[in-house]
Amino acid sequence: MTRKREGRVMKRLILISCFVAVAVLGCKEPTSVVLDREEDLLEVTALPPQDPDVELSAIDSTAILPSDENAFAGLLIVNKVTYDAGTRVDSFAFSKVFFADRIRPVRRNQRTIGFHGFNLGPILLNNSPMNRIPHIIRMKAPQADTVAGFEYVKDLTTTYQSNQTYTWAADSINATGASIVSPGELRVLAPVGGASLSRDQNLELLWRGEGNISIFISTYDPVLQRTRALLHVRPRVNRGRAVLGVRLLRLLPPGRNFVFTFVLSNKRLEDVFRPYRGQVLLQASEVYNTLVTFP
Amino acid sequence: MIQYRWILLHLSICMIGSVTYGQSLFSPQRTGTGAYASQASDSRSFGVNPAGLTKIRDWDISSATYLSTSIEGSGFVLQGFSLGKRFLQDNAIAVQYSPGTSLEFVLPGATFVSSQTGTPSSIETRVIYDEQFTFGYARAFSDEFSLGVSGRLRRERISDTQVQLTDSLVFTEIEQRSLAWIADVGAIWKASKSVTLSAVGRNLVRAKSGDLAGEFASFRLPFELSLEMGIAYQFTPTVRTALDVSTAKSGALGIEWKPGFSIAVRSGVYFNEAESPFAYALGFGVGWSYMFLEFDAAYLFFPDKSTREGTGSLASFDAGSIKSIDLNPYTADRISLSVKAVLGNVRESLASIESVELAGGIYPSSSAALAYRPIGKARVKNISSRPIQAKASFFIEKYMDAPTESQPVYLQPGESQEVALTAIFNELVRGVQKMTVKEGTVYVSAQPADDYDDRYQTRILLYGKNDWDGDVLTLRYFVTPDDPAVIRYTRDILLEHRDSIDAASRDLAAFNKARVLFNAFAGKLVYVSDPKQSADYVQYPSETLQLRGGDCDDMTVCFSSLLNSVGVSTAFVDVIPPEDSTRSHIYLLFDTGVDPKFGGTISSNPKRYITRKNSKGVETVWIPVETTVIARGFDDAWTTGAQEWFDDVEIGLGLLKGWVQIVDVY
Repeated sequence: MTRKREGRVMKRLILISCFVAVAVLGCKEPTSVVLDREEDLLEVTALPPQDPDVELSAIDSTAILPSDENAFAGLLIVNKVTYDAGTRVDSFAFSKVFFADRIRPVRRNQRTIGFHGFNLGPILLNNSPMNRIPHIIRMKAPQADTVAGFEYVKDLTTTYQSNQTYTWAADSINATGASIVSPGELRVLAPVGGASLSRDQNLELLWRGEGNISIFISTYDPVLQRTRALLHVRPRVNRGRAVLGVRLLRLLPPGRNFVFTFVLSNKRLEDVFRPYRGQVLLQASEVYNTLVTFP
Repeated sequence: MIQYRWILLHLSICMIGSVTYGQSLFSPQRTGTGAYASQASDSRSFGVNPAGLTKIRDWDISSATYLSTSIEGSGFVLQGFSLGKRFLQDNAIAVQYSPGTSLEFVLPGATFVSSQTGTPSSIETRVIYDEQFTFGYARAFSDEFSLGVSGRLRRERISDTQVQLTDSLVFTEIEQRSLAWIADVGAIWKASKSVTLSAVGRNLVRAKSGDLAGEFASFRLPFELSLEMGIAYQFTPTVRTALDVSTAKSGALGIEWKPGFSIAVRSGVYFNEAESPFAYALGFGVGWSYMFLEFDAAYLFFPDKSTREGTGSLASFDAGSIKSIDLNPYTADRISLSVKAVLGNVRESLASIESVELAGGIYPSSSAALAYRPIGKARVKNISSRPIQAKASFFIEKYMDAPTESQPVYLQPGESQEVALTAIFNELVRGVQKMTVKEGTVYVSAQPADDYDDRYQTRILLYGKNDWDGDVLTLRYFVTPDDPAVIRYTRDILLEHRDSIDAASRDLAAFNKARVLFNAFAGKLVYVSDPKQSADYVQYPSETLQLRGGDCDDMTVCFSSLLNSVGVSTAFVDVIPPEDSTRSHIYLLFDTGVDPKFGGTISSNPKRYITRKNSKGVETVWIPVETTVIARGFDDAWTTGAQEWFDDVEIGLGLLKGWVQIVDVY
């Protein structure tokens, strides 16, 4: 009888041991299958709402992120900008230099809405003088525009070239000889200007142009002819192709008209010591704007 | 039985027309062989065919785990636990909890970056299919036919993050899910001792709540009626093959070999028209039983691993291709391990084999006689606590179609008894050219058991087909009057001498036939003296006729066959002189059918013939013939035979003293 009981206990022990061994051995979760979809190659940033009173420089021409506008001691940019509305395509190019005077903020309703621009004296772009013009902080109400110092511009529409070195020189700053190379040519193949798109279907974006690519999606008000940037979409790798999934497209607010701004840019930061110590952003961009509608 | 066939037929007709080869990989036995629908036998495999539950003896507990070897970084996953119970004699139920029967897809999304903090958030969609709970019930309607039903809870879940753009990005977790109870019905029919058929209807009933909708509708798994048919064939007691096919033009072919020592070795190939290559997976398995435990391992290998390494493309994803959670285009190579315990009122062994004694080797020539004459004996003991009826069986693979059972013996508790072993051989045994040693197995079974209670493996000497043990009793088994070569030979001779036979008295027909045959025989065959061989080698008559000669035994056997083939009875006279056994000799007697009163019509000299009873018990005149003097013709052979008979029997009294033996050839 005792032997029988011992046998039973032994049997239970063996049984429990075996089952515990299997349970412990199999303690991992089943492995998932990862299904690639092109959407995962994108990094999306929702752009912060703009100051309700201030009209910032439009991304569709400057290709400067709102957060970058006042983040640097100075901006030295050279841009080629194309607008493709479907019915016509316009292009122009320009350069702009602006150095913010941080000790002279422009305030409105107890908020800093910008800075005065330094008068840097003569500035040469590729040995050609730039035009000094008043720096106007544009307000939503045009009568409230504020002139605050100076900025420098130069029209490059007829002279701009891709893959060309642009060098700024000025005696007043130590960024003498600061230069940047313009990116390669950018051509957007899809969506084409004037295209009618659907929020319920993935949208394929196609372009030609190598380098650092960013895509901004903005609403467009055809009456006021103003854009408002909503999303910054950055492909992790420039493969000349990206797919905006339905999930992304549905983020777009109601409304018909949107601008897809493709920006191919070279950027560089450079230290300056005059008129004060800081970093300036040097940027050369090809900007291609495509006007599309979402019925 | 006919009604079961009708049920199977109806199941087939009702369910043909759609797809799926829904299979569970819970059972490593199934994973190893691929084709298992007709062999399902426990709580692990009722997902393959619920009717297999009826093979559970009492309690059946299993657990299993697997490792996806073709996915980097994966570890052992708990496939699950199963529990089965037999009740009310013919009924069984089972339940499976299988967290490992799960298929999860991760669809990485765009990375959203907070413009305020710059913190990136990866948004991904998860699609999870699982069948974690399965229940089964089966009933055996007879020893041959079982029907079972199983229900599995299928869950389809999608977890996703919805993003909204207000002043900033707002993330909202959402989930969609669908629950469905799905029922399968299976049947197993043991059509014969070696053939088992099965049919499983999948997705016959579905009760569903919720559904994947909107943009996730494309992730719904298919729900389609299908039929799987299976057949298992037991080639030998140790080798079984099986084939499963589905209406989806998919299936598997497998083999299981049980070489002994409680080990099973399995292999199988899976095929599917939708896969590339057509034979898209190979299974290998091994099992080992020890006491009340059964350990099984299997390896499933896919030659094409394009979607089987844990990655795929959403663009090519098709939920419709996922017919089974376990076995689908995303199933990775896997190693499965399982342990099963058989508990409770497991049938106890009632009898054991204490010893086995075999009489000697087996002579193929006399193998037919072993169906009645014991080849040995086994001592069987009742090791139970109640009286039993025990039977012993003997089996040699290849040369026997099935184990030959002995007559049952009744044994009291603790009692042991010798059981005679007999053996029914198949025709292959007559093809054994040389003496060889084979494994023979002795089984003992006791009522009411179906399975054997004990087994004793032994070695047995299997002689060549022409080998003879020297016993004149068994020499008759070389006499083959039905052999077409013998019949053809005698018919040709008798036809040739029809006139002389017809002209003679009908009472002497047998005598005349014998004379004609012998003389014709004498003219064509040569006696070859080879005493060394004659001791253990005997030619079959067809061989003697073909070789046109033979020794004493060969000629005697051949002439006996010729006479038998024309209806003349014969007998061997075996002479073993006591003073010199090496001078042992055999010659022939044949029955003339003549009444001894008319012996004079045969010969005026009564010493030239013998009076003895034939097979009907009637006394007739028999003629002794010495076949070794065949060259001298019938009369000399007769004279020599008569002289030998006179010397050995009349003078030497060999019959009385026992050194002369007459063996009738029937």
